[in-house]
Parts: sequence; C-alpha cells; structure tokens
Amino acid sequence: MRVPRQGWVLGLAAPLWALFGGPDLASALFAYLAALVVVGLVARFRPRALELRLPPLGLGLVAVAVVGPALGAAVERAPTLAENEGLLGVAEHLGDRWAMERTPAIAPGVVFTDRPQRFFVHAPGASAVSVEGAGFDAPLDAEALGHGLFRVDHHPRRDGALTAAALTIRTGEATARRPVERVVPTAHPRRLRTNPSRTLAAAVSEETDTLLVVDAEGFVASHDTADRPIDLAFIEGPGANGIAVLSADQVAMMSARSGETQMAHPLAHGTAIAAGNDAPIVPSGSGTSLVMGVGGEDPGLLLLVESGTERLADLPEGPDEIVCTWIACVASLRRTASLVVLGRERVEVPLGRPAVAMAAVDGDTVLVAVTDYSPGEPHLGNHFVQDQLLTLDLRTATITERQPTAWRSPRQAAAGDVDRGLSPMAIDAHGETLAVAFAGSDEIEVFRSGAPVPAVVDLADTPLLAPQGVARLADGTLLVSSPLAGAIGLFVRGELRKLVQLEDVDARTSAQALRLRGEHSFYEATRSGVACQSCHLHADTDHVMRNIGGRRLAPTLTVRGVAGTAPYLRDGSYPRIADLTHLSTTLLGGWLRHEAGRGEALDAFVRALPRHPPKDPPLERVREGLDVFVRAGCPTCHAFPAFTSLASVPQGSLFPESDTLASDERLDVPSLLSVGTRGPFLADGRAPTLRSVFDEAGGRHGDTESLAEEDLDALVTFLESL
Amino acid sequence: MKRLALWVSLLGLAAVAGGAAWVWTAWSAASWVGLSRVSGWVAAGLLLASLAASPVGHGGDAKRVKRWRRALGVGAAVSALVHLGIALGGPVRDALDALWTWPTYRAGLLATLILVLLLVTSFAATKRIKVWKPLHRLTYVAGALVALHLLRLPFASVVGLLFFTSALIVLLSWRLLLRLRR
Repeated sequence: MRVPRQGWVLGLAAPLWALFGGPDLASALFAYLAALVVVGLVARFRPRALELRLPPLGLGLVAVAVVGPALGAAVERAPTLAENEGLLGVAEHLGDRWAMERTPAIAPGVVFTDRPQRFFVHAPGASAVSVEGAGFDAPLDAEALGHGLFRVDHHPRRDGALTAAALTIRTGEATARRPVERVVPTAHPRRLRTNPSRTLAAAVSEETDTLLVVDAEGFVASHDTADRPIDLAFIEGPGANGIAVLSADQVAMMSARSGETQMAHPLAHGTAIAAGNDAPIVPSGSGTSLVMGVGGEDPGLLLLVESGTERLADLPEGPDEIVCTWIACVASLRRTASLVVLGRERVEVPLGRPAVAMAAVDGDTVLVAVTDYSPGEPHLGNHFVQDQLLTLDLRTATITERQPTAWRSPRQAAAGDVDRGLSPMAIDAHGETLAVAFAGSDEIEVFRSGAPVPAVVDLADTPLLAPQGVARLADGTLLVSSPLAGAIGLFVRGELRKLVQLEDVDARTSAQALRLRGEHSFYEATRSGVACQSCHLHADTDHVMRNIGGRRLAPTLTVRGVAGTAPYLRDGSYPRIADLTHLSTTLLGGWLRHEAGRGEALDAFVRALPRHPPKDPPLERVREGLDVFVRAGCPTCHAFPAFTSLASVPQGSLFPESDTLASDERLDVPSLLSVGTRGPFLADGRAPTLRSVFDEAGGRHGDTESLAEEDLDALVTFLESL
Repeated sequence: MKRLALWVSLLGLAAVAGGAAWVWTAWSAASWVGLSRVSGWVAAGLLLASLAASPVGHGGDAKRVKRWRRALGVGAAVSALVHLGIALGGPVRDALDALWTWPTYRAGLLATLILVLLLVTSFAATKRIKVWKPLHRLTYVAGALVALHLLRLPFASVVGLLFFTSALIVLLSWRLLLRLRR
C-alpha cells in the first residue's frame, strides 16, 4: 500500500509539533506548513523517496509509531492548549450568551421571593409583553420602553412569590418558557442592639421580615415587621422597651415584647437608625430622639418626630451606620470612605477605607472597624488589607489611636500567616469590656481593661459562623448573631449556653445550605488576612481604588447581580464564579480551614445575591434615555436584556492613551444593571460619576460626542433606572 | 467564472481601500463593528459554500464544480482580507497586539492567513506544486479556526456559531464519507 502525500505531511508535522511546537494551534499549523514545504521539496527533487509501499499492517504500525508520541504530547498539552486558545469555561460562557440571545430573553435570570425586583425583557418586534410565573397572582404586564425592550417590576408581597424555577414570557399569542434561578432566602440576623439597661438585645432579618428580641434567658419574642427591615434602635427612657425598626419603606415603633406596632411613618431609602442620646444635633424636646439616615435623591440625617420626620443634616449619601453620644452623632459614609462627625460643628474625617462597624465606647469616644486606614494617598500594596480598630475622639473629631487586630496563633501553618482577629464586623463596648466579632476568623474577642491579651470565644465549632453582631447584657451574657446560622447564641463565660433560631434549620433546602456554605467562604479570611469581604463589603463595592494583582489601581467591583454574565472579573479571566477560589488558594494563601467544594458553594452564594434597587424616574424620561442609548450605539457592547455582550474587548480600543493599561489587556464588558449604584467608573476608575463617563472616554465609549447635554442627561437617567 | 472571481477580488480590494480610507475618520464605533460583522459573515459564508461545492456537485460535471469551488474560495479569501481590513480600521485599531495575543483574534488571523495562502496557490502557475492537495485541505482547518474565532468574539451570535460549526462538521463528514466510498 502506497503512503499518500497527506500521510507524509501529517507524519512529519506531528513529530515536528511534538518536538518544537508550543501548546497552541498556531504552532501546530506552522508545523503542518513546514512539513508541507519539506514534503513538497522532496517530491520535487527526490520523488522516488515518497514512493514507499508498505502492507496495511506495516503502514498502521508506522503511523502509530510516528503519530503516537505526537498524540501523547497533544494529550499532555491539552489543558494548557485549552487555556491558551480560550476554551476554558466555554460551556458556561455560551450558556449565558444563549440565554441572552434567545429572544424573548429576560434578565436578570434570578428571582427572589422576598424583595422587589426589576427585570428587562428583550422581545424584538413585540408590541406587548407579560410575564407569568407559578405562584404569581396574575401575569405581570411589562412597560414597553422601545427598541424591543420591556421592563417588568415584580414585588412578591404584591404579586405573589414565585414557586417554580421558570418564568413564561408572553408576547402576543406566543409564549416562551425561560428557566430562572429561584432564591428563597434564609433568616439573616445581623447587627445586635441592646436597650439602655442592657437587659434586652434585638436583631432584624431583612430577608425574612423578622425582629428577634432576646434576653439573658434566651428568648423573648419573634415579631413580623414591614418589608425588609434594615436596622433597629431601642427607644430611650426609663423602663422603655420600645424598638424602632427601619424598613425599606417605613419606620415603625414596636413593642419589644408584644410586637405591637405603636406608630409607623412612611420613609423611603432608609439606611440606618440610632438613638439620639441627647446629641447636640437633636433639638431638645423632640420626643423620640431617633436619628435616621436616608439615601435616594436627597440623602441626609432625619429626626423622627410625632408628625413624621425633620431634617437634621444633609449628607452626600445615605450612611451605612450611625452612632450618637451626647457629644456628637457619627455617620459612616461608604463612597467617600469617611466619617461625618455632627457635634457642635460638622467635621469630616477621611479614613481612606469605609467603616465596617462602629460603637460608642463612652460619651466622647467611638471605635471604628476598618480594613485599612489611609486618609491621604491609598496604600499601594497588592490587595492591601490591614484590619484595625480606630479610636475617634469626638471632642476633637480626630483619630487618636489605631489598633491592628490581626494576629497569629499556634494554628499558623506557614510563616507570615495570620489567623485571629480577621475582618472585624461588629463592636460592643460596655463598661470596662469591649467585645469584637470577627467574621473572618469566626471568633469573638473580649478585651477587658488591664488584661494584656483578649479572651477568645472560638465559634468554629458552633453553628455561629461569620458573626455579624455582638452584644453584652448587664449580667455578662454575651450574645452573638450569625446570619449563616440564622440564630443568636448566648454565651456565658465563653460557653455556648443557648441557640435562639429564627427558623427551622432542618427545613433548609440543599440549595440554601450550599449558598450558606458559600457565604461562609465569602466572609472567612485567607491566611494572608484578606477575605472577599475585606474589599467587597457585604458583597458590594467599597468604592475604593485598589492595587489589583500588582498591576494598577482599579475600582472595587460589586459582586451583586453578576449571575449569568460569565466570564468574570474586570479582565474576564475567570470563566466561572467558582474559579475565584483560585485567587484565594494561591495569591492569598488559602482559607483558614480546609473545606471541599468551596468553589461550587461560592458560586451558589454569589449567584443568589440581590442587586440594589434602581431609581425610578418618569417612564417618558427613561424612554428618551433609551433612544439616546441606542443612538449612541451602546447596545453594540451593552446588549439587551442584560446590558452586556458577555464579551471582552481590548482596552486599547477604549483607552488608547492609557499608560497604565496594556493595549491588548482584556476588559470585560460589565452589565449595566444597577450601574447607578456603583462607582467610580471605567476600568481605571477615571470617571467619578456616571455622567463623567462620557467626558472621560474621549468618544470611545459609545458615540456620545455628538450628543447634546439634554441627551446625555436623559442617558444618565436611563442608566440609573436599570 | 474567472471573470466572476476577478470581479469579486476587485470589489474586495476596493472595499479594503475604502476601509483604510475610513481609518482616521470619525465614523462611529458601532458602524465599524456592524461592517466588520457583515464582512466576517460574508467571508464565513463563502468559505462554507466553497467547502460545500465538492460534496454537493459530486457526480456532476467535475470541471464545473471545480470552477465554482475556486471562485467561491477566492471570494472567501478576499472577503476575509476585507474583514481584516475593517477590523484593523475599527474594533482593533488601537489594540493591534490583541490580534496575536487574544485567542479569538489569533484564530481569525490564522484563518485569514490560510485563505490567503490558498488564494495565491489557486492560480495555474502555482497549481503544479507537489503538495497542492494537502495544502488546500487546510480549508477545513481554516473553517475550524473560524469557529474558534466566533466562540469568544464580542459581537458574534451563538446561533451563528452553532450554524457555522454544524455546517462545517456536516460538510467534513460528507466529504469523508464520499472519500471512503471511493
């Protein structure tokens, strides 16, 4: 049997590639071309050399002998070749792209049973769209925005909660069933607050609309609240046991024991509440002296009075937390990474990183937990995190002391490891005792005046992982709240005496259990002392510019609402959310404890994070903005309905003048859903506001240079409504 | 048929020149992307058509089949060049490194280089080279590279990718089946 020319070429190309080629298709192709040249020259000048005839068996053996090693090399190189050719995670990427392109398509593909959400449907050519779901009281009619885009607002309390993992989109007579991820959240008690006499403590669970009140015996009551309780404060006064609960759309005074609502005022965009404690900004004789932070269009501090609210101060954003003493109220601001001290004067105290938690130690001191303190220039270390407690002197409005919290214990596995005092999440100061909850290292550290080292209450062997609330009652009982456990634990002399559950743990589904494991991984610190939480505060952005990977400063991304937008990270280098564990196990030294399946759990947790509610401008204005969006060519990359093409683009095509980014560096096209709640914007954070994106991009970020000012305003309005 | 190939080539070159002329103009990015997308799909379609010529025309007039295959192949190569010219003028104008460092662009570039190589060896003078058939079987490799190009491309559709890849697999299988029957 004569060996064909093709056989000669392949027989020569295979070993050439195995010996000299790299793990990529280009070198395989060049090996083939080189073999073609060689065989062509031999055929031209020594044609008889190619006239070899072998019996079929012999030919087969020769083929195996020549091609076999090359195949072996190919198998060995396959993982690297797949990576080099961009084939890793292709299935997930194509799955997400298919879900977006298969019209009518809906985004986001996650439905929560506890909170209002906004969805976008892309149905080109349809004049009307409605969305049906099992458990909905009636089909949800979508608002037509134009250009085949529709908007659907859904509130489980109003419309009924989804009971199946699919939605049906109706466009005229046609229907299309689309799979979605249905998320039924578990109870998440977070901040613990005590009454003035420290006989009671309470926490709210935003996910299950619950207020839980406990005493030193372990249980007082569990009460239903208005939709999504965010924060609470005990009402001051001798013998008072009333609680003010700040919810998504109201503030209500409730009886701690009976749960009876004594007074309720509508209030939108509330972010935090605190007892005024005779602070100078609270006018005397105001009644309740409850101070509330609000965001939205007109952020600031409000005072709750009989007739409603009175404005106390304007702020650039709704504060994350408020603490008041008789000297001043302190509001922590995330976007500006600062504290605003409102005493006899108003003083802004820059921190460089936003406060994670605060607590008044006495009348003139507030302790503040932060992940770093750099009020001037940011620290430029790669993934720089240094957990610490700052002492804020309210009389001078200055930081007078810094106490790093991370330390190493005999559990250290490698030189430099830190495994205690990581990610301070809550502080409670009472008398001579200070208790701090560390979510990163699953512990409570109790500092007593005069004691050289803190007493450690290790939570790793209890269900109370990743604690987010701590409080000491007057009799010394230590209370710890854990969203993962959905419970508050009572500790006496460091021993867990009682666990007060908000829900039946045994009734949790496997999906809920997986998400909670992922939530633990999110809060648990790595041995370098860095946790996901260190930068992504409660899975959100801290709005800080950071050195990521030792290359450049970049704004922290939010983790919310990223489900269904593979690949991930700003350079699209992680095809799956689960791959993010690679960062923790390599660069950051690995988690404190070994646990199998972290990637899958982290993926489940991140996918089920709710995104922030968008603004709600008039529909006509939104339609105008969408027209501008389309006219400027934005959907080319930010395609409907997820407002991303799920692709990467070379940064040179967007920022050709950049000297910090390589021209061929990948930039992932982010989804614009909830874009109004992020910032700073663009890959290197050059645009502090959404509006400035179009000034800073030099005409490369959409065709916006020819747009009039009113067009740009309409465009920003539209983006904020996403 | 020669005339057709010539016209296709000339039109393609004219488009390349036109694309180059637009390079420094303020034409919108979205327009560049749209043109890039259209030219890319034209090239991919012509490539598929040239691959289909042999199996579809099997048993018919062999010369006629060859003429069609050649004309479509020339058209595919010229369209690929046009597509590359538009991409250079638009989406990757300021990121030329990405043409080689990004797998998706590298695959497209390699496919274009193969088609150009086949184009220059498609004329009478070069048809006498001794490895012409093994060389021109690279059209299937070019097809596979186009599929890889579409896999992660920012502006390609999944439906298009699936259609192209399925068609390529069907045509290759058909060709192999005919070969085995012989």
